Amino acid sequence: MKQIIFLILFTIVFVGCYEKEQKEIKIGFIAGLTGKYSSLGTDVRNGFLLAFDEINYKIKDAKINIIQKDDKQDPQIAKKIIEEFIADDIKLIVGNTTSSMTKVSIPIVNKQKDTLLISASASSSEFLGADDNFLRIQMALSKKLYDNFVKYLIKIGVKNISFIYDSKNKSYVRNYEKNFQTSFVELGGNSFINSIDVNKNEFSDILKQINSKNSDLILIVANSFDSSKLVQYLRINGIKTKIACAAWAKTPDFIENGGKAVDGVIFNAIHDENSKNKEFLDFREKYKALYGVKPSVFSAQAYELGKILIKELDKEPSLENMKNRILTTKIYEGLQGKIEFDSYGDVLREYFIVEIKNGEFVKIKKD
Amino acid sequence: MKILKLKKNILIYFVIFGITPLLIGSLFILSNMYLEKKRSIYNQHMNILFQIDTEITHFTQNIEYLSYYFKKKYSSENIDIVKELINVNQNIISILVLNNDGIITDYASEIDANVYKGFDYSFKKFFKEIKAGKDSYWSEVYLSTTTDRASIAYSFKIDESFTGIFVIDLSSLNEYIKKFQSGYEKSLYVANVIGKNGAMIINPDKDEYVYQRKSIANTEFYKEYIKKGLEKKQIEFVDLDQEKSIGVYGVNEKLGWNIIVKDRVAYIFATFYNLINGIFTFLVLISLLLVFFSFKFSRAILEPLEEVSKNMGEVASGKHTSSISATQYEELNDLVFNFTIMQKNIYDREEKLRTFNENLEQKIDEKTKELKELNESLEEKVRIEVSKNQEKEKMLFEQSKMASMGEMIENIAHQWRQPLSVISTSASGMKIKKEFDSLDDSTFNSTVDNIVRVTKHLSQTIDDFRNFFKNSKEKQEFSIKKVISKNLNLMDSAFKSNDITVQVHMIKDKIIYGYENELTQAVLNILNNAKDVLKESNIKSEKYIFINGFSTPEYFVLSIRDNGGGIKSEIISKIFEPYFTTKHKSLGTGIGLYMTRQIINDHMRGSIEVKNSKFVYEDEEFEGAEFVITLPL
Repeated sequence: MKQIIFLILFTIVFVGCYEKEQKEIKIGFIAGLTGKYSSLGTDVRNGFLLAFDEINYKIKDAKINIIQKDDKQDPQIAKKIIEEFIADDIKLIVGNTTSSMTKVSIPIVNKQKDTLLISASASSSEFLGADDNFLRIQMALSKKLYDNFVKYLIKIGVKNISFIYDSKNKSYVRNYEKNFQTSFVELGGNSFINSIDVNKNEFSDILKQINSKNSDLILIVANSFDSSKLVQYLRINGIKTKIACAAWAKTPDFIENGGKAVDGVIFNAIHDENSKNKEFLDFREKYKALYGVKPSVFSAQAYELGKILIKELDKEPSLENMKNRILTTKIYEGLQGKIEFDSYGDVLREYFIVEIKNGEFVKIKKD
Repeated sequence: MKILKLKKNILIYFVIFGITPLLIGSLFILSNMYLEKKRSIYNQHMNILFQIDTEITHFTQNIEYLSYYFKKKYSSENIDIVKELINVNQNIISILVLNNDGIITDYASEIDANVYKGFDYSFKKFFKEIKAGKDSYWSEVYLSTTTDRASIAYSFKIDESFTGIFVIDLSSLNEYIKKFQSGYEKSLYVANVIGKNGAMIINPDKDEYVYQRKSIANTEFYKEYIKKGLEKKQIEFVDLDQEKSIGVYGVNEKLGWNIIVKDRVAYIFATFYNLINGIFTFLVLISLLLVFFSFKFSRAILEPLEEVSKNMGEVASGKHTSSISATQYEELNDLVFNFTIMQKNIYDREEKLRTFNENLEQKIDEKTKELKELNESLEEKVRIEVSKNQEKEKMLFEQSKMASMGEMIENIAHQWRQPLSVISTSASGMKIKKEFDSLDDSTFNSTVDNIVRVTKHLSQTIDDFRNFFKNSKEKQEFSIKKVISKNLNLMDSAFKSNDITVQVHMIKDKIIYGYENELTQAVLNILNNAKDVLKESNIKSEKYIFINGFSTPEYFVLSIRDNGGGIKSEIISKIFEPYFTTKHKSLGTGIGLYMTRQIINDHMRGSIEVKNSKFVYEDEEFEGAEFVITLPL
């Protein structure tokens, strides 16, 4: 009799405190989310989250928890975050957004047996061909990538190039410089006549240096913010030289911040803003509906990455052996064509040349 | 009526009637408290919401007033106003003036962000909105090129040619909102502001959410509540840190910004949960106490009762040594007192009984001894009596024999008279004839033969009588027919003189093993009685005696019937009794049939019965007594 009373009491009082344990899949997300590098970071984040928002962060009966961290483009912070992720037993980390930060993360991740790092945007060729715990959706820079671009430039008469870069993303920049220059020189161009670090030089100084040399092309490898400001600055100060920017800057806010000044800027791109692919158009609609702005190539790539992960998790709702699973499936349907991983976890994509015309990214027809 | 256990019932009543009201009461109070709490939180939140809303409106109004002032004061000549305003209002970080083409004509900023006059910002939303016809426009949070961080822009039409843009830092608003901290957990900020599309505008808890332009558009909160317009309603949800929260949101009309005011459920209801824990513990304690006291109480009552009961048990089984101590309770002491008295009384009575019992036993012993002696003497007496009886019977037997003998002698005398007379007559006749010399040889021979025959007959009769009075000492086999014929010989003259006809029917002769003479005697008694009855009766018809005999495999049945009218029903049952007779004392002894029965039953191990029967002989009906003797073979 006593027991019955106690039992009733117990159930009444504690019935509300009971919480059901649910299986949880933890994914770490690290990106540069503040400051001028945050354009890339927020784009990647927004695209990545959109993929999971579509499935309500649930796969089968497991809850997906994406833990977001900001590396602020600072290697110390990036290192700390990766170490925290590993300590937290997170087996899959999406990031980093820039190659430099990714470079910091990879060795830490490689020390773990079963932790995987996937980047949606890091493009340094330093990471090519390595059998490590790193995959990426972003196609790596390689000489091959530039041949097409370089050929075009040569064709339009570019011989001398002024190279402006952001030393804060050394890995990317170095890579870019090396691969581009190699290709350019091979195909008849000269090595860069100018090499200016936008971090260490005032715009006025940059202007001076540009003016001092006669270049056919100004090649800017920097983030979209710095790039757009620089282009504006050069233009209002009378520089009429053709300008090419790295894919890093190829985002809608480059145009927004560049205004008419960035008309005519060319990019070597793997992403067509005007693609008529149904998947891409649907994605763009959803992105706009959720965030109110157009997606950039990085949002698209991050979204693709999210979809790839979701596809694998749908087959098996765990992060076990994710690298092998992705490399086994190998080919996925992207927003603008197929994504194919090689055995090292790098992808091959089609690339083309894009020019800004009237405030739009327009594919230049290959002729 | 169901028998209940008192202890259990006390426990149940204590616990149920103790706990149930407590439980119900607590639940009632708790639920009310909970609802009250929620309501008070709601009121608090609404208050904060109102204040923040007002502050935002003021803030924006401030900016707008500044823009009016700026509008008034701005002319392409007086560009100082641009720089002045930057210094005046700390919320404004940069001011841009764009011409109709969107080119920066004037620019001032607290931060050197590499933005210069001449930049083309025609694609910027804040320009496009004004160009499209709006008088003013508040932007969402965006990454501003002039600040290199997340900012808000307010753009407004200066005149037909120019658009002014204030790039605004929200730190003062941030500071204001920071004032609203959780009453339960210091440094937990309760409010944040979200843009129309879900982008974080102010978040005092985590500034970086703003810098990162974090959007909550994909959170449950946004989708379930903001999108569905559940403004100013108390909502329970999970916040960005996965903590259960409770709060409200409101929309600032001016900007369409969503102001969220919330608190962590864990903090708010921490005391509440503690209270629940406390109450639960309290209830548990109370239950334990109640249980304890119910046991104590029942024990206080039941212990003395059980002791009394135990003592009663002992008393019932005979022990008187135990006694009960007084209890704490008056009522129970009465019971104890009464019981003790009862116990003493019982003990006294038992003592009395015991002594009485002992006396009784003694007396019984004495009596038993007396009885034993009496019994022995009685036994002795009986033995004497029995032997006396046996003697008597023997005497009776002898008497009967004597009587029979008397009768027999009578019979002999009777029987002999005729033959003797025959002899005498024959002899006298012969003498006379001789005297007259008329005696011839044939007459002489026949007369002598007759005399010889008669004397033979007389001799036979003597033999018969002699044999009759010889007591057969041993059992022997004899013929029943012979017995009958012997009897008839003996009675022959008696029957003849009384005109009694005897009919004998025997199918087969049987050999009987027994005392021949005694059986003969027994039958003789019956025949004698029959003769006497027939002699005395005055029947007009013939006088008959029928003797029938037949045998079954085991018995021989002899039936002697007369037509003397039968035996009166009131005496028929007595005829076998000794000394019972219908005749006058001098004529009958009454032992004849008694002897007959003794002989038949005891010596022959047979049986005899008598009944009145009717029979038909030669078409005439006769009534008389029938004796049936059954003898085992």
